[in-house]
Amino acid sequence: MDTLRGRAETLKLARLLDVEPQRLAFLEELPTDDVRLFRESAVAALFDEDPALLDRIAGVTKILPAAVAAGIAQKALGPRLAAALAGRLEPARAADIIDKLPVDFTARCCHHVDPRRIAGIMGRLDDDIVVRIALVLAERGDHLTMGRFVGHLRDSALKSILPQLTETTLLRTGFVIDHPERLGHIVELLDDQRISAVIEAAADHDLWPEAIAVASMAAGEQRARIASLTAAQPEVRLDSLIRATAGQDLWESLLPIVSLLSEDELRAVAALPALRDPAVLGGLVHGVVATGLWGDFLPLVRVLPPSARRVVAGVAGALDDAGLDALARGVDKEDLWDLVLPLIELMSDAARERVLALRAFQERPSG
Amino acid sequence: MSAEELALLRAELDVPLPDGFTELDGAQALLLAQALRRARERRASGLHESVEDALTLVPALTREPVRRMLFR
Repeated sequence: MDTLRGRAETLKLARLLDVEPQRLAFLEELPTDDVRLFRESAVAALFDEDPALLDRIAGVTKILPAAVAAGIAQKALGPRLAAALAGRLEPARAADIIDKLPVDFTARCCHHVDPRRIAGIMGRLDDDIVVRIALVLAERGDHLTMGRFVGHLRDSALKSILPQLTETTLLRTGFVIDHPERLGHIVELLDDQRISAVIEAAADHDLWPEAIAVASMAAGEQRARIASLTAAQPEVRLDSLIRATAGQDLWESLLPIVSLLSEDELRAVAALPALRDPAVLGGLVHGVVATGLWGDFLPLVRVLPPSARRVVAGVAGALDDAGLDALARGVDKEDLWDLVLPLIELMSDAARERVLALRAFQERPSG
Repeated sequence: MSAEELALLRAELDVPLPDGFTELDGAQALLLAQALRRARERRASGLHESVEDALTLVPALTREPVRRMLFR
């Protein structure tokens, strides 16, 4: 998940600083929470600048009727200054003025609003305005701004907005949502048919990373629901999911989702053509060694076709000492010996001897 | 060594850097510091331009006093 969160955080910071995201790609190597902290500090550095000037303008605005202030904001201030002022006004006053502004102008302001002030303002706007702003942002393809706002929307507004957004907009916005803890609840508002359509869109529009990120951020029950609805997709789509995951090394994000599947669903996944490809399986094993997700991986291995299991055993048996040691320690930590022993049986004699010689293996609980 | 560039980035951010950022090399820290500085400058000049635009709507006779009040 961290790879995808890192990508999303980099996109958000690039937007904040108005630089090409590719130039900040190096940030994806840093801990995601550090990048988020940096972004929050950058928000403060940018938005807390020149508060005296803004407060003086806001002071003038306060004595005007909301309709007059809205007229001035639109005709004279422009979206940047209007948004800056909205951040200095009492949220209720800002909402009064926004209420009098054309939606298209407000949508252009949204990009410039201090993210720390969004919750207070959104809570005071009528659903009707919120819905119209969201649709303008969607039409403009401004998913990053939508991602900043969506976590603050009331259910009543969400229920009007969600059916009007395209599946790709849902994926792209969910990917960069600023309050991921809200995502599970938002997913809950979508019926199974809509979620299946979103999954289909992920396959058709090469948006699997976005879909995996959304599923990862959704809380327990909703994550399992997405996993299950994904497993019900036709083989060709699931195969494209595995290929995309392998191509971008996203096993760390996908395996915890796969582990939520029922036995039958897991078998359907295990039978996919992509999971017979030695290159894919090799990357998968190395991904598991790097992330320690043995508990998520070994149940899948158990239901892989024999030829694929042999490939996994071969790759695992060829791991260097550190990799093999990591395997043994990971298996021991989660007591997964029952799952790994059949795999060891498939290894070459030399590899098996190396595994058997490992301290973790020798000290495993008997039985 | 990237100590100088990291110090520059820290100064632009105006708060201590998150731990992971100390791993950045000099070019990366400099890129971020410059991007942050440019973003601040753009925002400041954008605000001032917007205020000047707004002042054109104020009657000419009172424009200067209002400008002085705002930029005092």
